[in-house]
Amino acid sequence: MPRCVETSHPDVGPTDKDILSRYRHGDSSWFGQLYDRHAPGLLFFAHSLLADAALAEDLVQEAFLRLLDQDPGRLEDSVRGLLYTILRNLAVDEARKRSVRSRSYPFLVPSGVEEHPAEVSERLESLSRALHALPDDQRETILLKSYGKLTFGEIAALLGVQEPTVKSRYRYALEKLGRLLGEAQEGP
Amino acid sequence: MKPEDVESLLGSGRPPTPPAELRGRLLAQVAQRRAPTLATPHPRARLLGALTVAASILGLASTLVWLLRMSPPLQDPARAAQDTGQPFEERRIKDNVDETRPASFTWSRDGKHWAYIEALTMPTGNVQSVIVDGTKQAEYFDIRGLQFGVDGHYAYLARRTTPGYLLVRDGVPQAEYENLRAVAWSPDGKKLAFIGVKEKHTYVVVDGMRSEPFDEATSLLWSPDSSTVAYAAVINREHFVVLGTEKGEPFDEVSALTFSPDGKTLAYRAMEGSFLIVVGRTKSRECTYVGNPVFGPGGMLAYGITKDKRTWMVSGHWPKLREEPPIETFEQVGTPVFSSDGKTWAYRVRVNDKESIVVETLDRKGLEVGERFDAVGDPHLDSDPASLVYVATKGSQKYLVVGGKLTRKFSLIDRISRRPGGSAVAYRAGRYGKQLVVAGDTESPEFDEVLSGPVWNTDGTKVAFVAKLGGELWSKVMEVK
Repeated sequence: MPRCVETSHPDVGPTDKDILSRYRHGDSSWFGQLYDRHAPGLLFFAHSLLADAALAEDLVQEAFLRLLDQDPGRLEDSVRGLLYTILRNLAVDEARKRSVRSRSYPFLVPSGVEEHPAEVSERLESLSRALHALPDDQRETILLKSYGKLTFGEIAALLGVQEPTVKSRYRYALEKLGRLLGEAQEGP
Repeated sequence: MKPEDVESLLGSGRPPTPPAELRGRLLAQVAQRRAPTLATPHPRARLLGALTVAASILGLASTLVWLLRMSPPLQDPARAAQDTGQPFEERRIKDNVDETRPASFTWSRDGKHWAYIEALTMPTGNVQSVIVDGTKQAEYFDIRGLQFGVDGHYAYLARRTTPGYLLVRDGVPQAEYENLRAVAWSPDGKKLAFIGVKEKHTYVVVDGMRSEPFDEATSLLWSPDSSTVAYAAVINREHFVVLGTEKGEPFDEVSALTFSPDGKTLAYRAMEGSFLIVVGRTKSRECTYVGNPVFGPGGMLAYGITKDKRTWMVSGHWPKLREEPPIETFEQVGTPVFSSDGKTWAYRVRVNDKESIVVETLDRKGLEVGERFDAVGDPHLDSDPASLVYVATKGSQKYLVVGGKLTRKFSLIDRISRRPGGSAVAYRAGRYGKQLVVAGDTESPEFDEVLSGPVWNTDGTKVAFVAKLGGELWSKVMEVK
């Protein structure tokens, strides 16, 4: 038998809408692929907002399940955008009602094979710390743009603000991250 | 650091892969859920709508309703056997059902008993009851999984106002768990199995015997001979299949369990980094993605795979499968359906937003790809490729495709049932907001809704179904020309 070993390639296969359409016709077998496409970004986003890994996992799970309960008409919109919208609403509700708990933050990992993995990991760790030092609105914008792969228009709709506001937040966030990372390089 | 350097650094990182158990937990929940269905509008609202909307708009509305409505989920084998018990006698089952919204109508296996769930809107909220042979059972706030076993025994899951679910058997509340699901009679209708959650542990209960506690259990499946069950379970983040009481090899995830027709072999999909198929104690090669494995008669096995951005169906007698890709590959392949002799199989494929049915044969020289449509339903095969029947969607209309040719056109076609030993099919159809049954060239009158059937009698001369008309629930029988 021929070998076909390769790493997971979640963008191969049916589109998000196809997968949801299949689900509506009783076939949930492709749902894992939808999860693989979006779960890492969603979990990172939720963990960053809530600073609680276990709670973030619960909300990501709930977001996927609520996606399945959506009005079929709404599923014609970007599934990715809809997932982030559901998750953010859940996170905002949860943040309002939860008590103070121990806080944790997620850390980025290298996106590819690097020549100097230790050095890249160290820089990404600094970036992860800097991300958590951003104001909430700027951190949300950076995460949705960089790892949620949402457009500025989609982020504006999600956050309920004008698109120029999103672009400004993104620019301010990059500048602040640059300053924070510069300070980190200089050391105390 | 400059903003562009920060952007570059952001691009060099990615969110870490979520814990494997989150994936398994979510997929287990998704597998147990049923696809959402649109709420049935209250009869008075429908009547008001009918009076105020012009007939032409009604036609359009019915089309839209169909486009938005959800197809029923695939039935498990134990459940699919329920429809076979319908008696071939025509009678009025009940009056005044408009206010009670009958659903999940089912006959017992011997056709002597019938049951359905009725819902009433009360000031305190919706309440549901099971009606068995015309007698109303206790009221609950949620009822699911109504099924008949053998000799008229029945079971369902019910929720009271207090937390937790009850297993109700022959009208008597029995086991109570924090959550209950996947209740299923064995194929012979004598034994009952279900999954229950209590105090953070999940148990599989088979004929009254409770399994060891698991962190999670899903995909409960009876063997065809009713001798045992198989299911997927999780303990300490390890996912494995349990066959009877024997645990299989641990993986990151297991799903899509299926027994061979003789019940001797169990196959399933597993993930350990990438996906593979496990058949008995052997494994397939790893792939980017694999679909649900399906056994055919004579030891045939088929499943879809994705590799190198191409998707196709592999098939053959395990472990000697034809795995090489055909010249024509697809963006997506559906679950295969085998002919009765196992020499032919058909499946749905999707390319460039269009769908077709592909037919393959054991002596494959190439794939036979059917006409392209906006969408196609699952194929139905009898003995040979000429017996292929499926539903195709063109715009807002559904066509029954028989032997490759478009035949009847409706706004709804489903519940296709093939005549015993023959080529004709019977099905439920929709037209201008009404429903009817079509069998061969014979059409029934139109009804408000066809709730159950059609099913053929053994000599293929009649079909029976249950339908609602003018507030009355009827068991109907139609002679087929």
